[in-house]
Amino acid sequence: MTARSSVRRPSTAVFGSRADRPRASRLHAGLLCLSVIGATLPGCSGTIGGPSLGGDAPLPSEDAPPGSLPTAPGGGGAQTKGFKPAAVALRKLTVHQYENTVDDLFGVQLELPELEPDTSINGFFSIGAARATISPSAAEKFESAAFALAEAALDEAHRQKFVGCTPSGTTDAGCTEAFVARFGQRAFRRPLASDEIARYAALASQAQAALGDFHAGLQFAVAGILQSPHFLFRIELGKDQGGGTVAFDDYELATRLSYLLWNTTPDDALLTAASKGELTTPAGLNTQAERLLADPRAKTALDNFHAERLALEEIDLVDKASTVLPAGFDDTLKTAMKDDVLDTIEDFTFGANTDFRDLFTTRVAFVNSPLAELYGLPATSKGRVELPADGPRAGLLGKAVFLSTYAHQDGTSPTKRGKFIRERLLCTAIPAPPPEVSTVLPEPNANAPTMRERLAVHNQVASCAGCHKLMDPLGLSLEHFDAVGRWRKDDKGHALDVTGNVNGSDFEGPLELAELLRDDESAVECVARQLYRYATAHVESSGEEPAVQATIEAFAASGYKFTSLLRAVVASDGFRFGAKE
Amino acid sequence: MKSRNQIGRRSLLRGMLYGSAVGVGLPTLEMMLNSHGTALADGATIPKRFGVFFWGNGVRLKKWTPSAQGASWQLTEELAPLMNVKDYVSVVSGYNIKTGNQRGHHAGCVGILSGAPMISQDPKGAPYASTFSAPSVDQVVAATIQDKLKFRSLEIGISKSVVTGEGSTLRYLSHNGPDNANPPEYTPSALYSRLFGDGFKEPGQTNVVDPKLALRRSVLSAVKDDATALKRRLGVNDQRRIDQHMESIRALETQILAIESAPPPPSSCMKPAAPSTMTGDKYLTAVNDAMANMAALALACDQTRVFSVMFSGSVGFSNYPEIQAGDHHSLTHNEGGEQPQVNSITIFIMKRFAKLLEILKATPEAQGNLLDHCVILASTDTAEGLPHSINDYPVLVAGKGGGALVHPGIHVRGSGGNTSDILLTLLQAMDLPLKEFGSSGGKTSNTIAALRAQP
Repeated sequence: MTARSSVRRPSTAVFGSRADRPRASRLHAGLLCLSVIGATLPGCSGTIGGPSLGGDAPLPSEDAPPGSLPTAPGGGGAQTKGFKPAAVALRKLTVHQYENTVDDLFGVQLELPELEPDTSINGFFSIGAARATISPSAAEKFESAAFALAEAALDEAHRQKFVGCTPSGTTDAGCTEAFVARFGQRAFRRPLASDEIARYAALASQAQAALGDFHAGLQFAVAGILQSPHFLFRIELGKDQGGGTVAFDDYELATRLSYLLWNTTPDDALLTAASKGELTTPAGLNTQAERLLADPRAKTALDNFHAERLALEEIDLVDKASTVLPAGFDDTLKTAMKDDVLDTIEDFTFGANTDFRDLFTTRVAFVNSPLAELYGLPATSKGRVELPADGPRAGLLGKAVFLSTYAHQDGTSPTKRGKFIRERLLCTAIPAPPPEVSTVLPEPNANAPTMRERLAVHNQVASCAGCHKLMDPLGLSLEHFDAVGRWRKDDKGHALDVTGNVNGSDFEGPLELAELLRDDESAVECVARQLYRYATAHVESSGEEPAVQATIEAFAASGYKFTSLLRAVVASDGFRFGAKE
Repeated sequence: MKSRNQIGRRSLLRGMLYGSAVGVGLPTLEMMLNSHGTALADGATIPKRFGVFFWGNGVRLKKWTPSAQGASWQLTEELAPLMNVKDYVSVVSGYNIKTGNQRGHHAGCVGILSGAPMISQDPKGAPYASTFSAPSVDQVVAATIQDKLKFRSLEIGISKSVVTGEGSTLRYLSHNGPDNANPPEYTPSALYSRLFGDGFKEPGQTNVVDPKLALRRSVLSAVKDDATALKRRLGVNDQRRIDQHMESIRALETQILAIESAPPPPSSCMKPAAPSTMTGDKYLTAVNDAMANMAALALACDQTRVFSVMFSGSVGFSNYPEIQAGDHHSLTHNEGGEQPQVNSITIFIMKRFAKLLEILKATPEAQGNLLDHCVILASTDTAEGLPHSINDYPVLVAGKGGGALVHPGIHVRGSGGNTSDILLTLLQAMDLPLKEFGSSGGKTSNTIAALRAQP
């Protein structure tokens, strides 16, 4: 491992620095997020309410069984020392992936029935997808979608281009088989075995004969392929490397790469590269990664990662009281809030300033008229704007989508905001609150006019204080932003105290908190861990820690370029190797 | 669809669908019943139906639990909406979720719906989540139904303000197993299409079999062949997931076969007027009424015998614009005093549950009504939202269960017993041959005899 001393900033690593952590212990990863505060705040480290409350001890099943390390596989690139791969699981296509995929397969956006939503586990729909299955009602929906797509693709207007051969009659085995082989390869993201071609060709022939129509019959083969587990799930069987390790094959890597960098199915060029065995060489994998990153589809895929990482879709179901937002919290405003974050991140990933840490402090925002107004900018502002350099709003913590999602309908919630910062920006697990404890805060009164005084009750109950000390001080520094993220001078005439202290570091207000986060190793580590989790569809096991550390180091060495982090994850052992379940 | 007008009840139903209080007056074709009115003339017995009605964030126990026990119980403030169906309702109080309270709402939800502990999904610095460790009771019942019905079970959701980021427990009611849920339909028009769209036949309608139906089954057969070949190459966990996919494909085959064979539906079966596309918290009453109507007709048509209504999700942050209250979860934690808004929300939810029961009761079947043949469990994810406690759990049992449940209903007050006792009692009332139910701390072999009809 490369030494990181040149980039480490121990003096400012307020939220937890890697240097504090035990590196060899099996519990290493389990202790990560408690390194600073756990020692002084046992209430949030599992001693209250039973052992399961720790919340972040590794589940035994997450780790490969103890034993000797696998031997480094030959040919596929050496493994990072000490790396032990984690079990792989089928990944169901997410709704976004399904939609992008069929758009690509059919070359045209066809109307789709509504599919069942994805479930988020451990903060990611991608992780949920590695556990999800297909319920009876989901199977119904996939069937409806498959026939709707097949029918549209084979209508008079599209069939010529889509089928690729002209049938000799109502049945034509040659044309049917050629089509099944070609379409099947795109849909299954690998060449079909001969028995698979025969299976779907026979289906088409049966339907063609029954209906007396070549194209109407072909619909049934298309609909079948689109309902197969080989299409609906991403299947990774890998090649046995001994010692329980499998190396993903060329087509599996093509699929991993494509869904990571484009959030859609591999294109023909990627499948061709796979057919030549190029992706199992580090150079070939890198060449394709560069090609995909240079394509506009990479932006959509990165939007998807950040939307999952920052839980942006949570705002879709958020409502606000009319006292807070008389005009109502409509979808236009919510979309503008989400786009502000995604466009700002795109600006940092592909624009001039690519130090990802500056996301915390940047004055860049993307607005439409209502959002501009909410940010106190002229209503004529549109698109990319620079917020006032001497103003109170900057970076991710100043984004309205975060400030309004993590608030109540009619007021702020420093706890919710603090929880978001801990969970999503610092990768700190916050356990569930203990049972049988009243959670009612005192009503605002002369002695407790603002949230700071009202939240003080959390400090009076030991079983609450441990965790709330992780959350409340962070959120309280943002109290100048109201329930939708508008700046306010005070809280109904009461002065706001936005000072805080984390692990001995004093700060005041959102700008100083943002500075602390910008310079904190936990925050950049968190992004790296999140990308690793997103790419591999599981929370990293302790055996994978060397690969995770390698990506963190590559991120740091690049000056925190997000595209470098992506390359590092693609090159990492965790992306290329798995363990047999 | 000409025959629809012959039945001549469509306008009544339409009135119901848009939220009016018009009762359903479906005539019973008594010539089809035997002299006892318990079986159809062809000898088939009237099937029992099982339902679950679930809401999030508990109740205010002080305003929920009746003071008198046994048959003399009186409606309380929060139970008052059940006045028209009180005879059909029993109240069970004083029982506890015994699976441990690692996480109030999660443990409560999984415990009351499955009798088993939740599976925690919170490794390392990732946000926590959970899922079920066992199937929910609706699926336990559904698994025992031998007849090839169009739907194995029906899942309905009313409020869409469900927590999506903490795993399947908070998001879904009906579970087949871990991370394996049956998501609900939230939009009445979408449920209408599923139940009464293509392939639905009313009594007397001629069944013309579309040749494409057989081809659709051939497609599913090919998909199953793919899945079977794939399964052999996977590890145990993924095999289970493929098994569920195949199970779902088989359910779809059964559905297509049911359309092809189109058995003559029961006499009180009919097609309701198509509901509008309304959905979500703005239309809770209208959506609930439309869904309740369709659920009742799906049962009357014997399209399914198992249903669940997730009125609101565990920890749900539902808004109640009709009574100017919300969001529900935040209120349970932030509202002071006697929590009048939380109280009013519970009353609102009980009104919707009452409506479901009233509609079932107003749907004639044999010499009685549909509710006579139902066993319904109604409960929530925590006893009281404020402290997320799981002791003294609020549970209602509704229906006569085809004569298996006590009638008129009673109030059973336990002293810290296991809520799984209630589940086992209901499953036995559904004639499931179970001697025990639940797992870990939730496991029981006890039932509550008082809830059963006395011989």
